[in-house]
Order: sequence, then structure tokens, then C-alpha cells
Amino acid sequence: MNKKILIFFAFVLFASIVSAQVTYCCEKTINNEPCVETENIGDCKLEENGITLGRSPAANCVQTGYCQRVTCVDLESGTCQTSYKSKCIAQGGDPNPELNEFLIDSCIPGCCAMKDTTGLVVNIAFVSHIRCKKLAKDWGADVSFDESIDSEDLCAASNTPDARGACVIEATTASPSSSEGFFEGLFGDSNEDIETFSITTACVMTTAKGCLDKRNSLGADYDVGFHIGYLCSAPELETDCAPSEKTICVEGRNEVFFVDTCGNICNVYDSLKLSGDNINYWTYIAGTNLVEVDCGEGKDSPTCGNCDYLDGSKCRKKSRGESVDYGEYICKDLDCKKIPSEIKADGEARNGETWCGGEGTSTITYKDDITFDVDIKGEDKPGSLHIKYECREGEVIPEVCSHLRDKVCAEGIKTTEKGTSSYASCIQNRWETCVFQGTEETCLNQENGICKWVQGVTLSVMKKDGEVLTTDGDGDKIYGACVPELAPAFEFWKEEDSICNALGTSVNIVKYHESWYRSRKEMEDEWERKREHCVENCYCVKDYKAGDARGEILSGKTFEDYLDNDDKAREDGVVPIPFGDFSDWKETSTVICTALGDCGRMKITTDNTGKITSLEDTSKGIKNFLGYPGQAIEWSKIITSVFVNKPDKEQEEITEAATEGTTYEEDYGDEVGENGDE
Amino acid sequence: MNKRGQVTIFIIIAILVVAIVAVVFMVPKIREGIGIGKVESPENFIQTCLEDVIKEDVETLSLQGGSLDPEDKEVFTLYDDEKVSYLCYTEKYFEVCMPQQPLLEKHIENEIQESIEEDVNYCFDSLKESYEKKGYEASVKKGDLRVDLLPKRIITTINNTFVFSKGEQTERHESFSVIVDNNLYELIGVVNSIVEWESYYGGAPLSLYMDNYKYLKIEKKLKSDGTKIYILTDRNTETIFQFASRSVVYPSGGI
Repeated sequence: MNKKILIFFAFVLFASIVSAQVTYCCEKTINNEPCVETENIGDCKLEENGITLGRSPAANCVQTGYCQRVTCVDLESGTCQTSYKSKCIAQGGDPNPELNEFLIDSCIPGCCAMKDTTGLVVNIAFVSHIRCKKLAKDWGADVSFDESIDSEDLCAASNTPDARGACVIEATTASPSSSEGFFEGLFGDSNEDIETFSITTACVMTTAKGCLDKRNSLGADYDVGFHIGYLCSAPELETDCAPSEKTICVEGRNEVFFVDTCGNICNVYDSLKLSGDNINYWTYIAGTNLVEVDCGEGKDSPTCGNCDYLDGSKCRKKSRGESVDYGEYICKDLDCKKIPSEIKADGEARNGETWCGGEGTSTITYKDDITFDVDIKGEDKPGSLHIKYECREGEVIPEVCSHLRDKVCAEGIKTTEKGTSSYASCIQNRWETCVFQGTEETCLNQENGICKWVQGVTLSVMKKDGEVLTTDGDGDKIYGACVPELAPAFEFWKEEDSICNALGTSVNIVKYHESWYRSRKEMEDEWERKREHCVENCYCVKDYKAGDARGEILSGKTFEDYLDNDDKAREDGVVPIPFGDFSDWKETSTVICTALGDCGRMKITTDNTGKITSLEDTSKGIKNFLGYPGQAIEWSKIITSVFVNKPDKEQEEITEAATEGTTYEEDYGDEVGENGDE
Repeated sequence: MNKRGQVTIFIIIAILVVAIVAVVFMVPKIREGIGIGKVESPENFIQTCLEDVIKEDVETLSLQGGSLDPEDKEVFTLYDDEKVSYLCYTEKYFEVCMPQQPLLEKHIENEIQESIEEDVNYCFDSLKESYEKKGYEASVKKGDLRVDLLPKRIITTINNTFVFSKGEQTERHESFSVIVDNNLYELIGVVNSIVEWESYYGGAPLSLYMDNYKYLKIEKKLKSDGTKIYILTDRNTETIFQFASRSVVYPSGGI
């Protein structure tokens, strides 16, 4: 019997050891996710391509060899990128445990300039020297690498193309000619051979080096000369090339260019320069010998090809309805026109301009150009989406900052010589740091997050280490709450996860003592007196600040005698009165509640187009927000998928309301209580 | 024969010669029959045979984040009915992602190479057959296969040896190159840069890229799980490369 008991206990002990939670690191899960920690070893993929994959007990994957983070170096291509060790090896890379690329010799970047055989810069890159050699090989170019240049900007600025000019190639060729007829030539011998000579003068635009290479390759039969700063159409060069009415776009350039009869690129298109008085424009490269491009701005111009990308124009083939005086190309207007008013109020935007938009969002603007501080107007409604719009080459490109408001859109205005335009960016909304700020000063410092200070109500905030924060840094009790200015979004339809439930709807009862010479009514009506005579939960009193209570002392008693001492207060005749007017408390607590997320008090009514027509305070609870259209199609998808397990009338009504943008009302009775209920 | 008769005969002969020459040069079968018609060069044959296959593979993997079959080995997401691989991924919240293809260029080259191996064999078999039909003796010796992404083109190098002969004429062709015009090389350069930003900072400055690469339109689509789909479109060629990234994602509720 004792033996059986011993065996039983040994089994229980063994079972408890085995069932203790073990974490495994899978090199790959069955869903192909790399380096994942899991308690279920069955999640790990066993092998791939005949190779056994790693899976071992580890609290953290970085402790394993196969999931060690490394810099993956490819000595063939010269690339360096962070990676998991096993992935790096599988792709043929060399794993280096050093994660700072600047400390790995083969990864240190420098300025890599690639020039073609004519000396033209074909590519500039800020890469490692191994990568530079690979790029040179890929581009078939000569390369120079300067490791002393340590930024991309300096690299771009340090490389200027060699000077260009006309490379004139003169050839004298001899060809036999005779006056014999066809049949004589076919069947008989001619008695006479006559030689004629022709001189051809070809020309190409290139650099001095390019022209020299041409001379070397053509040999002594050709007379090659380079004329720096000249165009091939220069009359004095007496080439076969002449001005033409043809125009062209050039890769890497924005302007429309003339082309001469030999196909060489000349100066920027200017229709007035085709007349005989402008011979210099066809002789010299613009920017030399007092020749300039002076036709003004080219945007949509039939006469001028001086496009400016920053000004919103670029060389493009002309479309139907557009006309130019010569050629087929025009400076196309890249600005955005006829933008729907719901996206941009004034309907227009410049190329490169960015702005904020989105349904139901607050307006966030930068305070100045120096700091990143923002001003916020309005309130974000449930379902709001912050969208950053950009105008790029005539097209409006939207970018949703975030679905959960952890990123929001901030906008500013900049003024240049060309006028004002907006700029926008998706900024981080570090709302989770707000609740940890104990004073109004740290709360309103936007370096800690975009927060607001609500006086009169406190939150019991438990920090991640388990400490409950109730005092500030100086040890004084906190009499306000630092809450997010921009409430994050929650999936509030998942009731079990709803933070609104966590916050609850409790009421704080304010206790104060009453002097015999003051009427109860007076005490109820006068907030100032409440503040002075408060003995408990004083922070619930409207506008209460620490130290307000002067603690009128009953004979022999002190203010502190009544703190947290209901029995004593009752014994001495202190009357606990609920916090006066519930609407005041609701206002404060609702401010806290809505600041922490999509809970709260508003019902939104919309028309069939989804436009909000009215807002109404209500204490009905969170489900009324399902009537909000917001991104109506997206919300209908969300709601349908959430309620898929409840295929009933409720689901249909909710989905229909969200899709059509109609008002949704339902009395949930006791399901969600009113704030302030005891 | 009098002079007039001579001239007549010469004219008739001349007309006949011209007619024969015209028939010979204008009717291909006759040209081939008498051995003066040209067979298609082996290089052209292979180029034509493989070009469309490679283009199709490139188009497919460009829409799927650089992989031809993401479901097989990669972590992927669905976007617009396409399986798009993550090039930077973490399953955790708050953390930056880890690049999934540290050698993306090489990965794509390997994907194309593995995919076209059978097509290469088929094309060379067809080449051999086409020469044999024309009366040649032909043989193919297999060599290695390599795909290189290069500026503005993709070059597939096949080091097979193709020998054909007829009578005393023998020709030997070693190393075939199939060239496909494509700017995948340039797009991958930008993609790698975006992935690096995602892995360091959780996001990339798209406006900056479009300022520097004016031919590119770059869109970022956000999914509800925090996944970003980057779509790079070359405005000149309308080619697209898209991929997924999941980096610095906040959970709903946040705490």
C-alpha cells in the first residue's frame, strides 16, 4: 500500500514537471513564419527541401544559433543586410555577428561614381566598395570609389559630368563609277574606270574623352576634331547636321529638347529660336558663350520646353487637345486638378504637395517649422481614418496612416517664392505614455506624447512593473489625469477585450464636513465651499486643486481625522453627499473615458451618402457607434465578420445601418448602464 | 544568223535568267532545297523560345514580392487576390521587422533559374529537332544555367553546346544568352532601401523616394492587421513590383 502511494505521488510529481510550460523556438513555423517562440512544438515546421529545421527549447529565439541576428554579407554582390543566421546561410551569404554595418570592413559605404567610356556619369551610389565594383561590372562602366565621402548628398554633389561638345568626324571616301549599261556590265568588260571622291562630315555630341576614343577606333582615314561647347548644328563646323523642328524628351532631364537633323540633342525647345536671327542658339550649348534658355516657364506652353519639376512640369508626349508649335512634346502640367472636395477643399494641389484628410478626424497642425509640436482641433470619431494625401504627377496618392490611430496625420503650411503649399506626415501617436505622466507639466510636454491634462479625476494606473501610480515624482497625491489627446481606436465590438469595460462606471463620493452655520443647500450650490470643506475624494470636486481644502476643524478634530474614516465622519455628523450634480461627474469621467479610447457618449446621425448630419449626447453605450458610417464599406466588412457567429436579425440590422449610413438606434436596456449609476 | 536574231536570242536568255533568279530568291522552299535558304540561328531560336517564359515569370514574381510560389516557403499575405510575400516581417507587436530576403537579387535570380530549367531543356530539344528536320545532324551538350539581373535587362546565360553539321560543314555554338528588357534591377534597388527603412524605423519616407526617382510611383496600402503592401510602379514602362512588410505594429487597445 505504501508503495502504491509512493508511485502515485511520483507520477503526480512527474506529470507536474512535464506539464510545466516550455517555450520552443521554431526556425520556421508551419505557416512559414521565421524564428517564432511558441509553447506548442507542433507549430514548428520539421524540414524544408530535405533540410531539418531547428526547433529547441528557448525562452527567446535570439538564444538559438539558427535564429541569431546577424549582418548578412554577400561578397559577390557587396550587399549587407540584417537577417537571421539560418536565412543568410541558406541564401549563400556570410553571417557576421556584428550588427553595426559601419564596423564591418566590407560593408562600410563610400561614394561610388560610374562613368561610361565618354566620361558621362551614368550612376552614383553610396555603397560599399565591393558593391561598387559589382555595379561597375553591371553597368559596364569605369568606376571611382572614395571612402572619405561619408554621405549620399556629398557623393551626389562631388560628381559632375565632363564638359561636352561637338565631335566632328570628317571622312574622304573614293568610289568607282562608270557609264556602262546593265548588259555590258553583266556580260562584258568595261574599258574605263573613273574614281570620284566624296567628303562626309558626321558629328556627334560627346565629351573630349569620348571623341578621342572615337578617333582611336576609326583610324587614320578619318579626321576627328573636338569642339568644346559647340553644337553639331553650328554652321562654322560645316557638318551634315542642321537645325530641325523635331523635339524630344531626354532621360534624366525634365525639359523638352531640340534635336538636329543628325539626331543629336541640342538646346531646350524654344519656338522663337528657329528663325535665322538665332544662329547662336544652334551654335553653342546653352550656358556657354552667353547663350541662355530664356523662354520662361514651360508648363503647358506651346512655345517653350523649359519644364521645371519642382514647379510641376515635365517633358511628356503631347496628348489630344494639346498643341505645340513644333515637335510632339510638351511640358506637361504635373499638378493635380479637379480633386473631389471631400479629399481637398480647394480642389487643387501642386506636384509634391501633401495634406491630411480622412473622415471623422480631428485636425492636427504643426505649431511651427522648428519643433514637432502640434495643435489639435476637434475630436476623432470612432472609425476615423487619418489619411495622408500626396499629389504626384497629376495623381492623388492616399496613404492611410493607421487603422488604430497609433499614427495620425499632421499638417503644416510652408511658404516659398512660388506661394504657399501644405506638407503633411504620418506621426506617431504615443498615447500609451500619457497615463504615466504624473504632473500637468510633464503631461503637456509633447516629447512625452500628445496628451491632455484633466483636472479633478484620477486614474489608478498600474505600471508595467506592477506599481500603482498614485503620487507624482515629489510624492504628492495626483489630483488630475494625463490622458491621450488623440484617443486610440479599439475593436470595441469585441466586448471581452473592451477597455471600456475595464474602466467601469463607478461613482466617487465626495465627503465634506458641514459647519453648523452653513446650510446644506449652500454647501451643495457653492463649489468653492465644497473644495474648502472636502475631506474625501476631493479630486472629484470640480476644479479642485491639491491644497484647496483648508480643513475647517471641528473642535478637537483635524482634517486628517476624517480621511478614509467614514465611521468617524458619521459619528461627528459629517454627511456624505453624492457628488452633487451627476452631469458634472459624467462630464469629467466621460472626458477620461473617451480620451482613452472609442467609448463614450456620442451618437452620430448620417444621411444616405454617409455625411454626418448631427451629433447627440447619449449615455446609451458603445453599440450606438455602429451607426457611424466612417469608411462605410470597411466598417460593413468588419461588422459582418465580427458577427458572423451570430447570424440573426441583430447582425442584419447592424450591417445594413453601417453600409447605408442610416441612423441606428436600439435600446439595450440594462446591457450598458448609464454612467453615474450606483 | 543575222544581227536581229542574235539580239532577240540574247533578250530571251536575259529574261529567262532574271525570271529564274526572281523565282529562286522569292520562293523560300526552293531556296532551302538548293541549300541557299538560311535556317534560323540557334541564338535567335533560343531567344524566341525562352523570352516569353522569362517575361511571364518576372511578371508573376513581381506581383508576389519576389517569389514564384510564396505559399511553399515564404510567409505571405493576401492582397487583391495575390499572395504577396513579406520582405520584412515580425509577428510581434511594437518591434521592428526582420528582412526576410537579405539577398533579394540573388533570390529572384534563383527563382527564375529554377522555374525555367525545364523550359530550357525543351527549347534545346526543339532546336535540335528543327535542325534535324532540315537535314542536319545536331547534338546538344548541357551546361550550367545562370540568370543575372542587370541594369535595364535580365540576361539568362545558358552554357549549353549546340553542334550541327551537314556534309563537311560543321558549326559549334557555345554559350547562349537570352536578353529580356526589364528594369527589375532598378526596382529591386529601391525595394532593398525601403526594406532597410522598415527594419530600422518601422516605415519608409515615400515622398523622398519619389523625389529622387521621378519615374516611380510608390503606394503604401495598409491592412487591418498592420501589414503594409508597398506597390512600386514604373511610370514609363508600367511595370509593377509589390511586397508586404509588417513592422512596429500596435495592437488594438495597446495595453
